[in-house]
Amino acid sequence: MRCLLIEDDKPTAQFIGDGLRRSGCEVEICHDGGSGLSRATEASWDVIVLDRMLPGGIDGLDILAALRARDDATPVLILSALSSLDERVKGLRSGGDDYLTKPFGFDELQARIEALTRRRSPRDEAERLGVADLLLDTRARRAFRGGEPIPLQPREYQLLEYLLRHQGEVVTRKMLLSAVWGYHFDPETNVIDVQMSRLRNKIDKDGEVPLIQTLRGVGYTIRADG
Amino acid sequence: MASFRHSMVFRMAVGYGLLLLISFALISTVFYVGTAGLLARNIDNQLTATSRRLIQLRAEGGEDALEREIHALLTDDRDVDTEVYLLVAPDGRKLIGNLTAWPGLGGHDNQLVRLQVKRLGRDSMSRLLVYRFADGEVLVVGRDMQDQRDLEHMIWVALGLGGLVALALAAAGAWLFRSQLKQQLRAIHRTTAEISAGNLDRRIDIGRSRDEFAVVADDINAMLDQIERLMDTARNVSNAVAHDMRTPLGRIRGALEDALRSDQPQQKLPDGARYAIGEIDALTVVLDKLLQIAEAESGVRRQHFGPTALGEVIADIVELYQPAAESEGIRIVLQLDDDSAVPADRDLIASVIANLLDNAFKYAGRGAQVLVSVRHDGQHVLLTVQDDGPGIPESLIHRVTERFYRVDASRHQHGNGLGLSIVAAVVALHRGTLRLENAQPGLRVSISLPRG
Repeated sequence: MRCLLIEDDKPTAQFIGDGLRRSGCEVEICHDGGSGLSRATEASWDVIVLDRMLPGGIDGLDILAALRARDDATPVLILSALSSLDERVKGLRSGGDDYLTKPFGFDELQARIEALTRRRSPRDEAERLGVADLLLDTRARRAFRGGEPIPLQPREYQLLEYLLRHQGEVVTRKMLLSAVWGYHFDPETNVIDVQMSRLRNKIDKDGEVPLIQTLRGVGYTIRADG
Repeated sequence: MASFRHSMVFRMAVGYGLLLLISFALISTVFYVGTAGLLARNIDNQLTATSRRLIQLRAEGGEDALEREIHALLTDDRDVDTEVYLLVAPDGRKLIGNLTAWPGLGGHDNQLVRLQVKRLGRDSMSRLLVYRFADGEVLVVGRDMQDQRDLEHMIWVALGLGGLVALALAAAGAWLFRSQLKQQLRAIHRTTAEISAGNLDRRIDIGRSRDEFAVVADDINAMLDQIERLMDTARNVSNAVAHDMRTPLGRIRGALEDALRSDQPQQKLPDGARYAIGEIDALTVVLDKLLQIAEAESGVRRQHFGPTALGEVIADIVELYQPAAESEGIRIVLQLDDDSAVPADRDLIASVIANLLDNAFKYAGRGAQVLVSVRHDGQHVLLTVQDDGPGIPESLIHRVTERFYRVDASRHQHGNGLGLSIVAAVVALHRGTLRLENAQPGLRVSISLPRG
């Protein structure tokens, strides 16, 4: 995957670049708006990670506007230390696909990039989803593990379906809260963790290969390799 | 009131004065036209009628009849003081009449003129109608205008005096008006100047007045109260931010230093780093929450308001919290008696309920019972969250919505002291009211939101 990173703060750029390279990305880094704009427009990228505030007269939103003016639909993730709702809305309205506020953990960034670059796969519409011996019949809204039906509450079923549609990817608590419950806020009590542990108790019983993994401080992923 | 010209008060005073004078002038004109003017027109009509009658008489009865009639008119004891008759032969000789001298009458044929003549040996300003017969004889019918002039003079004097009185009254009124306004404005000006100089606690003295100025002054005072409150809050917040940031920063620094200095840095460093990340995340949460409060207080999120069924949102959040509650042995009782929609930001309302549940879980603890209810209350929807925990000491209850304020001053409980500040800010954003009270046992938080 080819990723263009436009970030003026060198330690931050290095930290993100190293992380992305470790996960197998081909990364190019620009440290100012001018070079960022020319690199963004002259080559093709799978994703652009863009700092909102850049030195040199051209800031992140200008680059974004230039891209979108050329009908370039490359997914763009905006990084910013400005976290107010207004700034967020401005960033997304200018054509950003996602908006991440500094400081952030690398796993969170990676989860967002994955979500942005994920090709629309047959999984999105599939009626039967599965990982290992876990199977989901989306029409009947029922789950089976090793052929045995698992009784699930509606929310548990929705959680599992969301995880399976994003299998192999990291999903954060915020993503789950907004996808399954439709709310955007940060609960202080670990409500999502408790919901997940209930689901896990039903899916990964003793003696079975655990499928749901917890990524500390970030979220969850569902995978076959355990 | 630096410059007269730029003084609104002066302009208004002058304007009212002018208005008064103009209306006086209009009334005077109407009065004058209705009295002196009417008299003058009556005189003219009378002269025309008499002249016409005499001309007719001469045409019917000849010269002698005319002279006899004029003689009769001059001796009938009526209008002796004012009547003017004169008949002049074509050669300029006076045939009959009471004028002793008259200026040339040529050029005034058949029209009404005002001329200086001598009547019975006395100067007289008269209104005259001159008619020249075909044979050159001239008939003059007229009226001495002295009484009319006296009347006009009297009217002019009266109007002039009235005008002067009106002018004086206008000036006095304007002055009074101006000094009144000035006095009122000076009180406001003095207070605002003092406030600019830094005395934020100064307020405009309203007294018992209920006039427009009192209303404005009252508004200004309310605004000043609000500004002072905000400034106090800002001051407290920056102090609290400094404290609440420095403490975790100190802990992070200590942990990292400790890890580096340790005998086995290789083993301790990962723990130190993990600890630092955790603390930094907590700090970020604090910053985010402060921003949320600032955002709610700024009112920008009102743009995102839409009709929101409170009951539905509350049911969702209670359902979200249910498993966490069960694992803590906490029972949530939900009472939904109203499902009407209010204009609100759905996510903010959700975060308010979540905050209140977080608090109830944290402070009422294991085995608690939390009652969440929504009911209809006139023009409002009333939402209450009540736990059966220890509540909050009565003397501290009014402080818990302050940022960073924590009842547990030693801060044993995990938290940042911002939860109820967010709740208060969001409720204020929705123009609702927030009430906290001890329910004995437990804390009852009531939120009342307007239905539209």
